Amino acid sequence: MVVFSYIVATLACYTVLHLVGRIATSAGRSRWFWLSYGAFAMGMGIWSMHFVGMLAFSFPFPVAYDLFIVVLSVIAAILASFIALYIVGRDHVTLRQLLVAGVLLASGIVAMHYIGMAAMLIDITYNPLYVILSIIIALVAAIAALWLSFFFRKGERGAAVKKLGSALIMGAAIAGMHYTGMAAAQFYLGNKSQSSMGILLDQQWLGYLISTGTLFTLAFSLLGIYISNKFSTKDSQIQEKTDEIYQMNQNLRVLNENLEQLVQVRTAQLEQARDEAIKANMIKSQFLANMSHELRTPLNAIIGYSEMLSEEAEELGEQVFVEDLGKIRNAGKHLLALINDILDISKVEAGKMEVHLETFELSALIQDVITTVKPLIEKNGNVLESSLEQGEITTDVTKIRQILINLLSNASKFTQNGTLSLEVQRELRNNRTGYSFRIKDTGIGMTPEQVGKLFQPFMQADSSTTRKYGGTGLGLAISHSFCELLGGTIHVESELGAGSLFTCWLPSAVDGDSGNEEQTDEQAYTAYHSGVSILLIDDEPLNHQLMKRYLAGEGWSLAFASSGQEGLELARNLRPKVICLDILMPSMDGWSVLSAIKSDPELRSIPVVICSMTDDNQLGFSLGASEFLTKPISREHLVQVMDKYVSKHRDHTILVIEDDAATSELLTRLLQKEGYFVNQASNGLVALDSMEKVVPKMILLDLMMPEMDGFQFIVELRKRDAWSAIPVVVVTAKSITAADRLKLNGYVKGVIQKGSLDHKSLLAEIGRFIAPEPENE
Amino acid sequence: MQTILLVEDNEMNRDMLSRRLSRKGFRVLTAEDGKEGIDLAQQQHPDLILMDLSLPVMDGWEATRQLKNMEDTKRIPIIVLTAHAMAGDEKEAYRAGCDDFDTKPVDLDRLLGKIHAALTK
Repeated sequence: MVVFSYIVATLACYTVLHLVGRIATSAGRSRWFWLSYGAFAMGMGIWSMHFVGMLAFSFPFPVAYDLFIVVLSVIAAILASFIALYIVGRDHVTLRQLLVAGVLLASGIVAMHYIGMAAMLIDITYNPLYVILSIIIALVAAIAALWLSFFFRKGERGAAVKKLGSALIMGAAIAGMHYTGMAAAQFYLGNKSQSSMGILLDQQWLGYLISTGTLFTLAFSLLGIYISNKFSTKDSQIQEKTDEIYQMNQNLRVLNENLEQLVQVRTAQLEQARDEAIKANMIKSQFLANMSHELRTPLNAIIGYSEMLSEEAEELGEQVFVEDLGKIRNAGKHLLALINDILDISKVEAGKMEVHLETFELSALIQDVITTVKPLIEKNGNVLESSLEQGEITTDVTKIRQILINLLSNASKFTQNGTLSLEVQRELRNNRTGYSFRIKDTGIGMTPEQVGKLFQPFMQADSSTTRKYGGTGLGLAISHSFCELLGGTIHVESELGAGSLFTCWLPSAVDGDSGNEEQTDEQAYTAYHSGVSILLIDDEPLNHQLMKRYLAGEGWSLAFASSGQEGLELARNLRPKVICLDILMPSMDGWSVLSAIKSDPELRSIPVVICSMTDDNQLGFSLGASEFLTKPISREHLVQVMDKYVSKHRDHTILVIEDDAATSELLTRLLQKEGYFVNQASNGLVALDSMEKVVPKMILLDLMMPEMDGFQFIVELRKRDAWSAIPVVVVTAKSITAADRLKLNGYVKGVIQKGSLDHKSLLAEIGRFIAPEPENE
Repeated sequence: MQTILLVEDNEMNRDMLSRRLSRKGFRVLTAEDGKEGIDLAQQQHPDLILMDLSLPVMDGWEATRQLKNMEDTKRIPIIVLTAHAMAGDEKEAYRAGCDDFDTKPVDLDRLLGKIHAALTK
């Protein structure tokens, strides 16, 4: 019985030690559940131990128990356990808390013990020494138990053995306290045993009760341990997963950081690679140009000597030599043509191709082209039909000639015994007059894939074509580049086996320069006199053309610079309203240009819009850029952004009142070129009529006119409030008398004498009156 | 017989062109650089000068400029010949004062046309 009581105590302790860990890690309702459960298991354990111990105490006579007090002792045990577990289950326990809890637990156990004793219907006297000893043992046992359970509640490996050890000690302590307490008691039969208060339990019943209690305790303990283990396994699994997730998260973060770094490094590398590629391409083009030149010198000798020898051989009557020398000469000329092609394409790519504009008759050009290609066409048994619209064109005659010869000889090369046709027609495109040249053949044609790479340099539709048909494969690429250089377009429709149709459209007048350096000075000069709106700084000539196409039609005047240095110089000379700046340029990049502009007090106020492949907005904005456009830039977007910085003249209508048609036309064209909207009126009456429909922003007024002259017109104008604010500038050939001046005084903003009419001052005058007006209103 | 002074540094081109021109009935003098060209022109007073542009010692532009600035040589027509295909050569040559311009490789018929035109002016 003694051993049994000890086992029960140990088991209860062991269970509780397990449960403490669980209480500590759980929260909320589950915490209360574990707390209550633990308290119950421990309380029952201690209580069972006590009563098993009592049963082990063999009385010489049967002893009855008072049920009510027995239950009270159970409650005392459970309460004490509850308090102890509550304390131990907390996250942190101070020494003081531990001591207080120990005292509470000990008093609970002691109370349980002595209440249990009191439940015995037998008279007992106590030996005070043993009672105190039992209390001390209870105190030590309780504090040790609490300390141990707090210490072991972290479920480390190998803790199970330690827990068992400490459970044995705690069990021993509780049992020791019990038996010390028993030793303090001296039982004798007295009044109490005779009295019958409440429900009496005889020893047999008590035996059942305690056995049940013990079994319960055991079952609870085992169940508790089992569930606790289950939960703690799950818990540790969850903990493991959480750790894993955390670790993965960490890894991801590290990866992410690495990735960002990698991307930065890679971007820098790509930028550098692009810069290098651009430089390499320029070097390549330069090399090709130089090389072609070097090749031409010996070729010159070959062709010249063979020509000379062939003439001599003819004079000497050596016919065999004449033929062979002719072959050398032809091969030399062929080689020269190929070298010229390479030279052309390199010049285009290096941005060094010049455009020389002249005005000429189309028919003369076409006649010349047909004469040149005729032998080629006849060689393949082809017939050429041509239809031609008469007219003049202003363009680079050598280039248009080369385009047409290329297209025709190409058509002829890929057609056998067929028909070629050349059609020239006047055609309006995007409001520009021009001519379309259609070259059609009935030759081998091309697949869509072949058409796709047709205009790329060094790409013939099929590389086997080169072997079969000869040529560098540069002809079409050159035609394409020339066409763009002249402001036109070229495209092809083709069907395999059915032939091809090449259409080249060229404007009847090429506007402005075409991106070559020679004309920059002239252009800059013109720009200065007309007031440049937009300055584009970009090393790529193609971008100049693109911008021109995009923006010139909007009525802005443009200037171009091909390097940072040139850009700064032009910015100082021209004072544009806005600067579009490329970033990746050789020698002086856009960042340097931007900081140079922003550190120059005179240029600082000019807004700079970055147009680049890079999108390092932050750097751009920190250096003072106003806007950031990433290439490729859409026309719409570009126009929209430019519109913010350069108010377009086109919003302004100017009314020109002038009876002389030639003068009126001259003024109109001048103003339209500046992008103004112009209405014309031949006298004051017509003008008033026109103003009913469109109110102009400004009026240019002649004085001497039929029907209603300038003076009368001004009088009429002042009658209408809405019109009285419109600025009027008088443009007249009349010498203004003092009387005239008096009439005009206060009504007109300025007088310009027709004889002294120079465009610059006229436009400056107009700009002066039109520009500030919206601010005044 | 009319005299043509050919100023050309490349030996083969000089030899070839001078022989071809001789065959066409001209007396041909040759010089290898701009300096020599000026000296010869001053001594011999040729009827026409064919001037290459990239020459050692003194280049064709400078030689042309000097010849056109000297009283006794300024009336001699100068046709500039160049293999330079790069931009600006032609303008630069006219600015130096040449009367005509032709590109190499020489197309003999074309060049003869220019020579006759210059001589009959």
